Order: sequence, then C-alpha cells, then structure tokens
Amino acid sequence: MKELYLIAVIAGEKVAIPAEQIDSVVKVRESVPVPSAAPFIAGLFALRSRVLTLIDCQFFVSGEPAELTPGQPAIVVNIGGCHYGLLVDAVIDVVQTGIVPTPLPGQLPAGWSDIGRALLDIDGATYLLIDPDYMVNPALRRAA
Amino acid sequence: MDDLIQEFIAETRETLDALASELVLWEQNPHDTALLDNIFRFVHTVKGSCGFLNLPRFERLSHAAEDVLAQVRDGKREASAALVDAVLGIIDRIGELIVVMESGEPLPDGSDADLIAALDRRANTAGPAAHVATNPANDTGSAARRQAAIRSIRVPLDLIDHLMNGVSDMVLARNEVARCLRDDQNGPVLENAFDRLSSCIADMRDAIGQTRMQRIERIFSPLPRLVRDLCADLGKQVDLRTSGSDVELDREMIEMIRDPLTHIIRNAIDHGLESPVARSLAGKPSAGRLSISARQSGNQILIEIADDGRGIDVDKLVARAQAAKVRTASEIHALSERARLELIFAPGLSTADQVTAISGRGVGMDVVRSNIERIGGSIDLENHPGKGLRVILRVPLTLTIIPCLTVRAGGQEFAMPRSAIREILFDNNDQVRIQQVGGRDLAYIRGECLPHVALETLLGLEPTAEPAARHRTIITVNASSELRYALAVEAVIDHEELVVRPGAPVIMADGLYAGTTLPDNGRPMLLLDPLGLANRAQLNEFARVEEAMQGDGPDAAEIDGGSALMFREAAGMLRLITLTAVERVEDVEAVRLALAGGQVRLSIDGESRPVFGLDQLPQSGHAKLLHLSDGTRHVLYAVDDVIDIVRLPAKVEPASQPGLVGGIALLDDEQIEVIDPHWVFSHMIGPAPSAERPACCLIGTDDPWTRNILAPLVSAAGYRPVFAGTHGGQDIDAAISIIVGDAADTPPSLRGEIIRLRDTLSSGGQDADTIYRYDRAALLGRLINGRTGASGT
Repeated sequence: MKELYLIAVIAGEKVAIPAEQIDSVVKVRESVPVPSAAPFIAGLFALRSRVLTLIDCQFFVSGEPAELTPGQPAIVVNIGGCHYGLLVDAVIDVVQTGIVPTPLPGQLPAGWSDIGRALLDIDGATYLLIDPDYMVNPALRRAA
Repeated sequence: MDDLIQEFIAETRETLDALASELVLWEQNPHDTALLDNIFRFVHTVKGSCGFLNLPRFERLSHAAEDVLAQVRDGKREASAALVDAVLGIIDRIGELIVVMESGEPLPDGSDADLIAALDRRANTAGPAAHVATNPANDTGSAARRQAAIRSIRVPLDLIDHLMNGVSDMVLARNEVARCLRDDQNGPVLENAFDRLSSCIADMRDAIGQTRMQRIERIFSPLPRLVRDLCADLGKQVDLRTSGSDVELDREMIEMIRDPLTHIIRNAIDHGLESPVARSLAGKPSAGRLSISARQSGNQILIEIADDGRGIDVDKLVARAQAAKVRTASEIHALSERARLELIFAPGLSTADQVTAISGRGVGMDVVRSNIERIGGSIDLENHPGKGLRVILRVPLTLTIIPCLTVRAGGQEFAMPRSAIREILFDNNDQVRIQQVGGRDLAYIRGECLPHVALETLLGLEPTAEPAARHRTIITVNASSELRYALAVEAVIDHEELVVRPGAPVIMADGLYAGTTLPDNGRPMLLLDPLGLANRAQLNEFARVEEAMQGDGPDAAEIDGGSALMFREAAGMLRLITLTAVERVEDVEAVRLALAGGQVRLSIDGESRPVFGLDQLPQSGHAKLLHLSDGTRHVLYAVDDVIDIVRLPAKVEPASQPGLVGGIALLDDEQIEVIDPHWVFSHMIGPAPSAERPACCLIGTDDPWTRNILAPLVSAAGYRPVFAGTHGGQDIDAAISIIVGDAADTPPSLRGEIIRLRDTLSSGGQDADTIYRYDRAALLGRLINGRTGASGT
C-alpha cells in the first residue's frame, strides 16, 4: 500500500510528514502571541473564522523561537478535535511511496529524536518522519 | 447490522428518558389507559426490535412485561402497586442492559428469571380480574399526543459544527464586503441588496445556533422517577411540580447542569423535607412540596428549586463549621448573616445528622457551586428556616456567545467575560487609593480593600512605555463569590458579544485563558479566565480576610431597605439609586460620546445608546456612567461621581409628582432624593410601539366624539384604538371593546372585555359594564385593569 508524505523544511532540514494527518497548507500573514504559554507556541492565527494555534517546529530542534515572516507556510493538522498550524520554513513536495519507515538510529541530537518517529528512504534521499502529535502537546508523551 | 443496533440503543434510550415520568404517573393512577398504552407501546417496540436483532435477553424481558400489560389492558388483571413495581423493575433492567451495550461490552451473563417470576407470582396472588375503567377521552388524547410528536432526525454534532463554521465564514466575508462598500461610494440599490444578504446570513446563523439548543425537558423528564425512588427509600412523600420545561438551553449546558441539579434535589428531599409525621406536627400537609421551574431572563436561564421543608438551620451550620475547623470562631463572628448561610458551600460540611446513602457525606454543595461557576453561572440561596429553602441557579444561555469586555495590556488585546466585572474606573479617580502593604499592592475603592494586580505582570508582558500623564483603567473583578480583586489594564476598548471557542489543550492548560475568539477585525483574541488570573496572582489565601471585612455586620439587617448607590449629579446634588438596578459603573472616554439628534449618545457593543443626564459633551475628557439594567434592557445614566454604597431606610417617603425622583430617604438627618429607575427606563425606552400594544375595539358610529375625544384617551391608557364601525369587531383580536352610544347594538360574538358607554347620566339598564361617557375615572380604571389583566395572562 502506498502512502503519501509531505516534504517540508524545519530548521533547514528536509523532513516528511504523513499526509493523512494533514488538513491543508496555508500561508500565515500574522499571528497573535499567547503570553506566558509554552515557548513552542508561536501564537494564534485566524484561518477563515477559526482560530488556530501556531506551533513553532524550529523551537523543538534549535531551542530558538522562530520569527514569523509574513506569508510563511504552516501545515494545518487536526489533532484531538483541535486545529493547529505547524510553522515550517518551506513546503517542498508531496511524494508517494510504498517503502516501510525504518526505526530511528539512536544517536540523534535531543530535539530531533523528540519530534522524529522514524526514517524514510524515498528515491535515494533519507528523511526524518515527524510526529505532529508530539509537537502539539509534548506533555502527553512525557507523562505516558 | 451495527448501525441497526446503534439505532436501537439510541432510540430505546430516548424513549426511556421520555417514559420515566409517565411510569411514575401511571403508578399514581394505574387506571389511566393513555399512560398504559404508552408503556405498552414501549415494551412492544423493544420486543419487536430485539427479535429482529437477535437479542434474546431483551426479548424475554419485554415479552414478559408485554404479556402482563396486555392482561391489564384487557381488564383481566388489576394494575396493583406490586405489579407496577415489577414492570418498573423490568424497564430498569432494560435500561441497564442498554447502557452496557452502549459501552460496547458484551452483555453480562445472567438470567432475568427473578424479575419475570415476580410478574407471575403476582399473577397467582392477584385477585379476580378487576374492572379497569376505560375512558374514551383518554384514548383520543393519546392519539393526539402521538401525532403531536415532532418529526425529527438525528444529526451528528460534527455536521452542525461544520455548518456553524461555514456560517461564521460567511459573516466574516460579509463584514469584508461591508468594509469595501463603505470605502467606495455605491448606489442605494447595491446597499439594499447587501442589507438583504446581511439579514439572510443573520437568520441563518440564528437558525443553526438553535440546532444546538435543547429543551430543558431533557433533564426535567427523568426527575419524577428520581423523586419517586428517593421517596421510597426515605419514607417521605413529595408532591413534585415542574414548570418551564420548554425553555431551551445549549446542548452542552444541559449536560453540565444535570449533576448539580440532581444533587440539589437529593439534598432537598433528604435534608430539607421532613418525614410525614414531623410535617403534620408542624402543621404542614404530609406530602412535602418540591417545585422546579426554569425560565429565561435576558441572556440567562434561571432554574429554581424550592421546597417547603425545614430550610437550613444556620446556627447548626455555624456550629458544624466550627467543629470541622472550616472557620475559626472569630472569623464566623465577623461574618454577615448571608455569609454564614453560604458556609453550606464550604468543602467538607454537612447539616445532616446522619450520613445516609443519598447524601450527607459532606461532599456536595461545594462541588455543585464550582460546577455551576465553571460554566459562568451562579447559585443563590433563599433560606426561610422552618418554611423551606429556595435554590436559584443562574446559567448563561449558551456556552459559546459570551458578552465580553475587551481590554488592552502590554499592547495586546484580551477579552474578559462581562459577568465577572463589577466596576470600571480610572486610577486617577478620587475614590481609588493604591498602596503597597507588605509587598502586595492593595487598592482601596470607596473604603473597600481589594488586592490590586496589573494584567501585564500576571501575563509576563512588558508594560508599554507611555506618557506618564495617561491614566490606567482599573477593573474590579468578581472571580467567585468569595474572591474579588482589582485588575489594572492599559485601557478598556469596548463591550462586545464574542463567539468563544475552547483553545488548544496546551493553551488552556495553565488556566489563564478560558478560550479563544475571533472579533470582526480578524485578529484572534484570548479570553481571560478571572479565576485563573486570581490563582496566578496567588490571591486565594487572601480571600478569607476580605470576606470578613466585607461582612455587613449583625445589625445591618435592622434598617433594611436594600443597598443603594449614592452619587453626585452633574448639577451637584447627591442622589440615591437602588443598587440592584445598577449593573456596573464605568468611566468612559469622551471620544466614545457624540452629540447626535439632540442627545448625547455612547457607542457601545457596536450600537449607539442615548445617555441620560447629559445635554452636552463633557469637558474633562471622560464621563462616569451608571449602567442601569432591568435584566434585558440597558440605560446609561451620567453622573458626576459615585460617593458611597449605603443602606436605604425601610421607609422611603414617596415623591408628590411622578418623575425622575421617586422618593425621599432620610439618611443621618439628611434628606436625599431617590431615583425611580422605572421612570428612567420608561422615559428612555418609551412605551411599547403601537403594534405591540393590545388592541381596543371601538364599536359604534364613526363620529367626531369617538375619533377625537375617546380615541386619544384609549391611546393614553396604553391601547391601540381600532375603529370597527357599527357592526364590526368580531374579526379583530381585541383585548377590550368599547361600544359607544345607547343606540349601538352589541355584536354577537365579541372576545375579551366589553365596556358600554352611555350618552347621558341617567339612562336606564344600569350594570357594572355600562359607564357614562364622561365618567373619566371609571373608564380609565376599566381600561387599565383590562391591560394588566391582558398582560398577566
């Protein structure tokens, strides 16, 4: 069975996200900060009449909050009935592959091993498969 | 097949809910064939469905019940109490099994032989077949009821939410088009078309909003059964009355108030109502009365639970509180009567002498209150020792649309639920003194001491550097009934009704925010949680001292005419207004005021409202306004300053002329005028528009007297005069009809009240309905009575 993956760029590195979890990809013009919230929350933004939470993917990796440039792409996912936008540097492509993801090697730096779930080889290139569930609520996995 | 089973579960559950009250009625009146028919139909439907779905256990149960009910229907058996119990037992078992099925677990093993045998055993001991009275009227009644059932379909909540989102998108798109239209000069044709589109969208939004609404009947209908079972357990008799079950509430809200309501009813029956013996000793009817009513008031729903039991014994409650070390003796001594009664909400306290299975374990009223407050509601008690207790729950109409105040702090905008806000004032106001005591800021506002925190500090924002001359705004917040504080913000921006949605779990987690919203400007906004802010500021341990300081003192009740707000008019004199009429006090900036159409008007909530008491724009840059509210309508009253809150004496001397001043109160030998809020409202809002007034039909020749002399009098008395000619009047739905002149005939079929006017003082045939045409007092009296009678029905 072939699966679709979205290839995006986080902190300068290409990653893959399972397309079945993705609603759409939008451009974020502006966001409103959420004071005293967790540092990986970049703010709130409006998508038509809905208010979405913007997740700063780069923060997990680099520990540095990203500056939103107007028009930056965000990947909209629906997790637990709530919509989130995953703020990424760029969205590159959608690929289809039947290749089964391989387990993570042990030696990834901390940030990457938190958000990564597996490795994916597509056409000779290897991508880290990202886990959006973790990024929208890291406390859940730590507790589990 | 799974779909069919799901359908069966849902349908059976719904019917069970609806049937619960009928079962109890049937028990009281076993000869009511209409009720019997309904119950019979239920077991018959269950039997039919489960034969088809291969659910043998359900089938056995329903089959046995159906047999017995059929015998009762045919008059072969009597519906004795024992038989009713056995049937109820079977229906309960069906309900339990349904719950098990719904959770997806396999049905437990077990035979229902005991229940079925119970039915049969009674068959043997039952006497000879008794005659069951059948009443044909009942049969037609039940047929009508069957037809009256509203046709409905089940729609997934997701789909409705999807529709609601679609409509919200439409509203935003419309707002954008509206902006474009304002910028370009367009013809009136386009504007008319746009207005029509706007009203369509508004209708649509209301209609979809209503699909989320449910009748409160959904929680009322199982109550008779609950009460019956409790009474049986406790050996009490209760006469339960419910009213207002057609009031509609948001679906989620219904779920949220179900448990608190049940708990209050349990308490009322277990602790409130006495045993039949004790009641007759106290000279009360042996069956206790419990009445539960719901009604809508403005944007709130009021649910009242009243019993005529023994009420709360406050002395005992206080003793318990001391024994349980909830409060110390000195703290209790400082409490007002009201605060003592509210000890019932303290955790770990109960007035029950014995712990029963029903209630009395001391977990209860505190949980009830926190559940109600969590959904933005409140709970009040009216205690009449020895005579009963009335519990009043107030809950907002929907969870989603909340009246809010938007404020700015650290350059960012936030929303705050208006229900929590008591007063808005500037920090350069004479009555505000902010002082640091022991490392904490305190605000003294008219003698009341409140903890004072800045919103920027709580949220960790940088205060915007601004010219020192600019004043900040202080909002006094009622976070809960025991916890108040003063919150300083950069500025108050507006009052708005906002559609609030829950935020993502990561945002809601730290409790500062109650949700997110999207105002018209398209920038998302966070809704602050007043209680969460208080927790962040660690204000909880501060609250108890506050409460003691706010207590009215034991002798406050002696001069009770209610509390009143003392204020200074712009002209300089002091006046009073009853505090219950004042929703809040607000300092507004002069830019929000405008002189239009000869009135000073304030822009608020996206509309323009006239301000009472100002005939020109204030010079000082801001104005202090009282927001008066009668529950639904609002009037703004401009004052120079608010002085104090005082107790009104029990007797207020009425003013000689009706007008703004309704009476004179004597406070410390000073005579102070008391405002008549009714006059202010009637003056600002005006009488009902003529279409809404009751019609008064004038029958007789259409002569100048009728038209020029009688009609104005009728209008002045609050009616809409309708000229019906000599013979008309039958087809007008008039509240009252006046037949003018001795010559006019009385039309054969007139609805409502009839007054006959005679031409001369001394014509014969005098009766109460005939009045001399210039007997002004009698005529006006009849008209006014007729109107109060009409509006009372």
